[in-house]
Parts: sequence; structure tokens; C-alpha cells
Amino acid sequence: MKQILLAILLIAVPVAAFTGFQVYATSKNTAPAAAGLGDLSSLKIIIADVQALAAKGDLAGAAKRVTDFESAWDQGEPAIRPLNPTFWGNIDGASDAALKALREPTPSAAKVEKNLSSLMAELTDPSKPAS
Amino acid sequence: MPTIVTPDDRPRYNRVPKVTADFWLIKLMAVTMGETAADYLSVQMGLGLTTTSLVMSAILAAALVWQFLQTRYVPASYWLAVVLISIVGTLITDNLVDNFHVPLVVTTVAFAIALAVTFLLWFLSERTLSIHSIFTTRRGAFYWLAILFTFALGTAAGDLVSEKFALGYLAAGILFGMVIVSLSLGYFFLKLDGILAFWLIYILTRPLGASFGDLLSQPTQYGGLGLGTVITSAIFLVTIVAIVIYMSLRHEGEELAGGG
Repeated sequence: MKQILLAILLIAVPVAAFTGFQVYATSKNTAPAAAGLGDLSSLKIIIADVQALAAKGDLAGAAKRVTDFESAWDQGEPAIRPLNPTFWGNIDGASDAALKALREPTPSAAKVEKNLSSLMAELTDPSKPAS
Repeated sequence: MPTIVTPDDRPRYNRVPKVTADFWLIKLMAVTMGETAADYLSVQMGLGLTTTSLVMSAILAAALVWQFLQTRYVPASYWLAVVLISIVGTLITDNLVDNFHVPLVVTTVAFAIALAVTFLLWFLSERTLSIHSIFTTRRGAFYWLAILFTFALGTAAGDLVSEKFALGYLAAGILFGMVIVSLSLGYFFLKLDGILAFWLIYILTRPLGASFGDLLSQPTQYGGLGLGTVITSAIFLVTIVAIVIYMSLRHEGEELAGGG
């Protein structure tokens, strides 16, 4: 029992010190309250491409190009998500819907266009929940 | 500790390595590589999370069969199993979170319970949790089950902490590093039990290594060094292989099984 308590203490001390330091450091540094997700413009460029291909009627090409977005979005998750998990979730939901629409056996142009627009809107302002 | 001697008077060997600085070094690298390789396999190879998980799990099963056939510590076999567990453990947790939308709090608690139950059953069965006396298949089974759950728990707990507290890679790495150092000091100076310290630190090396892997591989606009998952995985793989070859040739890390 003593050992367990010792272990808990040994874990709690650095965690407390770290937290204390973090609180101190961020309080000195009046960072903006609303934590955005940083610069998502590279992702928006890819979606703009996908939208252009879909508008021309090339849904197959759009589905291919959107995999670049998917890879980039997945790769960026460890970095982006902690910045604001709620915002990240809004984009992720819109992303899932858009990917699903593009990957249907016979994709509907109207549905694809709608979901891509929603996704672009989320990338522009992720504070809005997905429509 | 008295050496275990079998009825025909041959000494029994521990089937897992001695816990030395080398051990922790490779362990950290195996963890880091597991994180970046899992990312690479599921994202870059485009197989998707589910397929990748199934394929890697099958390979892990084969590696564990090979490991269980060994009757002493064989570095290549042991560390292959550890690297694969690192990859599969990461993939499983990612599957639960991404495909099944299980919250990280739930996975963290579930794996903590699974690990605790494993230790309980292990202790009830063997009367010792010593990692210096893994010389039967049954003890090996408990050991590897515990290793698997420490990886799963380390992944879930690490992701949970990083996410809830919005820590960047460097900050998260520093936090986990500090706790590991604290526990180590406790072991060396405050008589913290060696086996307890070992398993706690073992769990924590998972998020520490993962933070380090992300720091190296993630793009610079997200706070990483932008090396990419391929290069990072390759660097660590080469280093691990080199150290394993060195260990194999020098027979480092072997020990006779201790009493218990």
C-alpha cells in the first residue's frame, strides 16, 4: 500500500509542477481565448480542386483528388485536433460526409456539391457545427 | 537471487531482457517507430485502418509464436514482437477511436482495468510479478499480455492527456519525461519497488515515444520537424536493427532466471 501511495506521489509531483508552470506561462502570455485551428489553407486548396473537378462533372477525378485531402487531414490530426477538439470534430464530420458522398457506387452530383460546400464552409469557419 | 536450476541441472534463462539503459533506449525507439509506422501504413499505403490492423495483427501473432518458441532471451525475436505490438496497439486504439468512436476516457479506463486484471491473475497464478523470472510459457503469456495492455493504455492515456490539455508534442513529451524521471528517482533513492517502477515507466514510455515520433514526423506548420513518417520510421528501424544485431553478437541483456 505504501508503495502505491509513493508511486502516486511520484507521479503527482511532476504533473503538478508542469501544470503550475503551464498556467503561469499562459497567464503571462495573454493568448487569444478562442483557439482556432491554425492555417488550414493547404487543405482548402485541395477541396477547391475537388469542387472544380466535381463541377465539371468529373466525379471520378474528384474522388481521386479528395484522397489527397483525406491523407493530409489524417496526417494533421495529431497536431490540429488538440488545438480545439470541437472545431476539429466539426470539420471531421463534414469530411466524412463529403468522402462518403464521393465514394458511393453512383455518386450524386448534387449531393457531392452540397457536402463539399459544407466541408469548405467548415474549413473556413470550424466554429459552426456541421449543417 | 538464487539461480533457477532444472532437474537435469541446466540453468534456466530469463526469456526477456535485463532492464538496462540499452533496454529503455530500444524500447523508446520501438514505441516511436510503432507510432510513425502505424501512421504510414494506414494513411500513406492507403490500405485503410481496418485492413492494416488485420494484416499487422496476423504478423504479430506469427512473431509471438516465434518468441514463445525461444527458451532464452533472443534479441531479434523479443524486439520484433515489441515493435509489432507497438504498431498493432496503436492501430487498435486508433480503430476504436476513429471507426467506433469510443471516447478516449473510456479506452483509457478500460485498458487500465484490463492491465490491472492481468497483473492480478498473474500474481494469483505465479505469486510473483518479477520480470527477471520469465522462464515458463505461462509466465511469458502473462508478460506479453501485460505488454500489450501497457501499449494500449499508454496510447489511450497519452492521447487523452495531449488532447484534453491541448499540449503540443514538445510539451507532452516533457510532461511524460518528467514523470518517468520522477519515478526513476523514486526507485533509485526512495526505495520505490522495482517491479512497480518498471511497469509504470513502461506504460509512460509509450506516450513519451509517441510525442517524440510526432515531433519528428509531423509537418512544420503543425509544430513538427517535418521529416515525415517514412523517413522517421526508416531511421528508427535501421537503428533498432543495428542495436539488436549488436546485442545478439555480444549476448548482452541475457540473464539467468532469478528466484521467485
